[in-house]
Amino acid sequence: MTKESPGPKADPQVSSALPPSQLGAFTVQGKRPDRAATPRTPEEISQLLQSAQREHWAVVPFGSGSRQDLGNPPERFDLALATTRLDRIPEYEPQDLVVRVESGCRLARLQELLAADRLCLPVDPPAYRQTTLGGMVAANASGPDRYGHGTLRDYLLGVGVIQADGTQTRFGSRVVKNVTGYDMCKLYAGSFGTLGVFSDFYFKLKPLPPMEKTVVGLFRKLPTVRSALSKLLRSPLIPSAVEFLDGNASRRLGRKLDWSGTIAGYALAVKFGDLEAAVNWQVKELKEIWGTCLDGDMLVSDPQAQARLWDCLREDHFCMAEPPMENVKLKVNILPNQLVQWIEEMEKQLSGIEAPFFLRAHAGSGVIRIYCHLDPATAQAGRLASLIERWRSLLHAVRGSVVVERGPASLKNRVDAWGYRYKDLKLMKRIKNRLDPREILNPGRFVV
Amino acid sequence: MAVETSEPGFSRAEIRQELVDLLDSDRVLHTPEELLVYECDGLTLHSRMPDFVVFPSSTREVLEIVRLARRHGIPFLARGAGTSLSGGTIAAEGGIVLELSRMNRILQIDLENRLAQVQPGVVNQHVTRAVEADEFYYAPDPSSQVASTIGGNVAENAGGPHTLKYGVTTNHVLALEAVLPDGEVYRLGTAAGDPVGFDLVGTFVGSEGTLGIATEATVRLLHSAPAVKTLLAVYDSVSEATQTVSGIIARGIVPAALEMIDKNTIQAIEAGVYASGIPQDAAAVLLIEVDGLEAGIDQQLEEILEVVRSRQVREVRVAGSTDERKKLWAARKNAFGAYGRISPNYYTMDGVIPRSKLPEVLDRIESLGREYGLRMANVFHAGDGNLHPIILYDIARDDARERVMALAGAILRCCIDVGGTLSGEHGIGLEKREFMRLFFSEDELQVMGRLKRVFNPDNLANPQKIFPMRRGCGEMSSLSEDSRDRLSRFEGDPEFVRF
Repeated sequence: MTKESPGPKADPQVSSALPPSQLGAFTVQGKRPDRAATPRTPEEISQLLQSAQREHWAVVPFGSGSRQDLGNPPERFDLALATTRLDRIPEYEPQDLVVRVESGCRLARLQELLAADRLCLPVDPPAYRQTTLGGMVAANASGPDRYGHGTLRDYLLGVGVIQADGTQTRFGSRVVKNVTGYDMCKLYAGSFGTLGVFSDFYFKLKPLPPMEKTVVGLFRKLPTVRSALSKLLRSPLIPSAVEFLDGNASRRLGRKLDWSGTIAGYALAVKFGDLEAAVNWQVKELKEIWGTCLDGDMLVSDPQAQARLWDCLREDHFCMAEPPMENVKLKVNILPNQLVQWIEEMEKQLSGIEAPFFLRAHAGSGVIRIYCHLDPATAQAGRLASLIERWRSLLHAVRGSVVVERGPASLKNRVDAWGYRYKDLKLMKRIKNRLDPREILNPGRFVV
Repeated sequence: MAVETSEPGFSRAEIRQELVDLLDSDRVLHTPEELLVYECDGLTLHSRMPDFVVFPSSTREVLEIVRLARRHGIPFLARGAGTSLSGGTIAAEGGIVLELSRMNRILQIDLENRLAQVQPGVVNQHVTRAVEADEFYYAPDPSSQVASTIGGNVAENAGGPHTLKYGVTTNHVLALEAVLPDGEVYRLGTAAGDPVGFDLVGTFVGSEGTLGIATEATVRLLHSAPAVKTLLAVYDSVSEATQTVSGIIARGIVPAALEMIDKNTIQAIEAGVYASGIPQDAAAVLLIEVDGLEAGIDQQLEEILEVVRSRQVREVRVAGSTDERKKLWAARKNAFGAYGRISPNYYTMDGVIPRSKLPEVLDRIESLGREYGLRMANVFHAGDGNLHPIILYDIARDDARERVMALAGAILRCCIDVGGTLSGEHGIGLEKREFMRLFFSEDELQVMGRLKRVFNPDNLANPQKIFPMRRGCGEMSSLSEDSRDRLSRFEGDPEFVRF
């Protein structure tokens, strides 16, 4: 560890500190930090963390802030450490399909650069335009394309991490296959900023698909959705995304996209990205295997129409409410083949809350998202909290989970955001304790 | 023996009796004759006899053995088929080897969720065999797949030729059950959507048995590709072959496999029973496979052929049938067996480099071989930049071992110098631990050491693996020492660091 001479005790301790007038932008779930800094280099991050160790500050690593609704509200919040000025792309080897990006770089900017060479990082999480790579890795955030391409953890080859004590470390490298030492990239992906602050990443890239087409299948009844899904998942088709929408969500989507009158009932949006011949064959084959299940379908082949559709499908916006209604977003992790059964159950139980709700899913990946609009003047939050607890117990046997990804204090005060109660939580706590013994990184916000 | 020194209160015989009480005597090996075959694995340069080899048949029994080991402070490690090429299953400090071949049941196949739940002793290829009638398969395909087990694959994060397109073991493991050194059974990860909390499955896979023993794995199954095209391209110059590899990757095509076989390997193969008719004077051969749907497969092949033909290529063969395809692959898959015909001994290395550096690194390796006076061969996953330089030698010659180690060290340094790493799929094990400082700083080793101690605080689970035993830069010479002496030699030494 590089021993820096301790900085001046006066606060702010580093040159990258922001004036108090700018702190409001770093508010996390209603809590404002005492200070914020936007370091430009790993060395500056290291100095900040050393100060934090000394002063026992609670540090929230920050990218664009688009995922700070995740997790529990901060117990303490002394320093917002924003990586947004670490936004370079220092190495890009298109011929190797590898890139090194600093953690504060926005995904959208990286994708633009890559697209010029017909390459991409095949992940499409919500907040696509704002999100930084650092925030995405911290949350292992994913979107519809996870069905065909996996999640960010599958593309993370190397990571620069400033440890909680300020030590600068690096794990993995720019090569696409590596078993040298422990696979620390996996530990860091999805660690929610609790184990260190990221300075930069190496990612594996993929070629952009030569062409894409999307089939939106419409279904009046849930049992037909079940059989349509099971036929698709047993087939040799290789879609890149399979998205499920309930009636409320599909109606809103239709309205948003001005698809007048065509959208009704449940929808499955299936995207194929491949060589032209392969895409066309799959579109044809899908309609064939779905055959009589279908109550209607649309083919979206125009690139702009597809871009609009998938811009919506990966984002939350069209399922969100305006104030004073309060938005709740839940992620429910289930076995993929239990999707329809759970949707049925949720429809029944959520109607008891008497708040509008929308159900969407990365079908085939076992990830359901519930969007619910709570009226703060009612007791809806309490009723939803008990539902969450009930579902958590029901999912215990398959090691499923219900995560509160977004919700008002009235809900988060009632239920833990993660609700993780499995035995291996003990191991996670020990890891946190070993790597951040003074608990300065995102204390109280994650499962540990 | 480790047992007597670590636990003076108990004799070896008493511990054996406890093991027999748990498992019956036919599942506890303890005589030198019985233990001999367990003194080394695929890395024959190392050997060390365990004190006991036991054959548990359930998670419960694994748990009881680990608890026993913990009670007595005896090291333990699991072993599948013993095909590790980095010494992963050598009992470096003696102790108990848990041979998991009796835990070989496929517990569940769930095609709706595209997963299989298997015990660790299940042979890799048997997973595919169990689901191929339904047109599914398990993707990671290490060359050892007819023998190596899922447990071993998980421990080493095994790769294989088709990982170029489909990823390595860690990309295909959803959940694990593991007995950890604290004497408890844990479930890690989940098949239900995304796991919550730290990715402990990702952390465990590839930890080489130093974090615990996997007693069950839930792995992902893929639908078999309906169409496969395989071609073989023969080159008169190595650089034309490597330029082709770079050309294919740069073109944005991801073949299912992209393998390279060099001249010495071709000669070894062609001299044997698996001869596939590759011209013996060829400088290099590329084996390229694309897969996918019938629709578009010809276009994929055409694009590859276009790149292939843009370089100086002597001959291109496209397999016209499954038999022909199998024959083309036979050359690749039997390469290792073939070396025995051209050299009394050979040492299979593993290193990774950025794939665009292939031409320069292969040149460098060749000249290193000349420098050290040793013949080399190379058969490797070119598309991944994952090299397997093979050093051919004769152990009967006085200084063979020293020269092999010196050459191996020089090759690894060369990989690191161009931005590569020490291993792509074989692991660090005993083989490369003293090289870890070429790649990691002391701080980085400390962070991994802290992680290790979370799981394995007493260092009883597969001790001496991965982490360097002494300070200073990596020296392969330690490999040539009998590991038996090593502990006593280094313990108490101020330079001795235990991670």
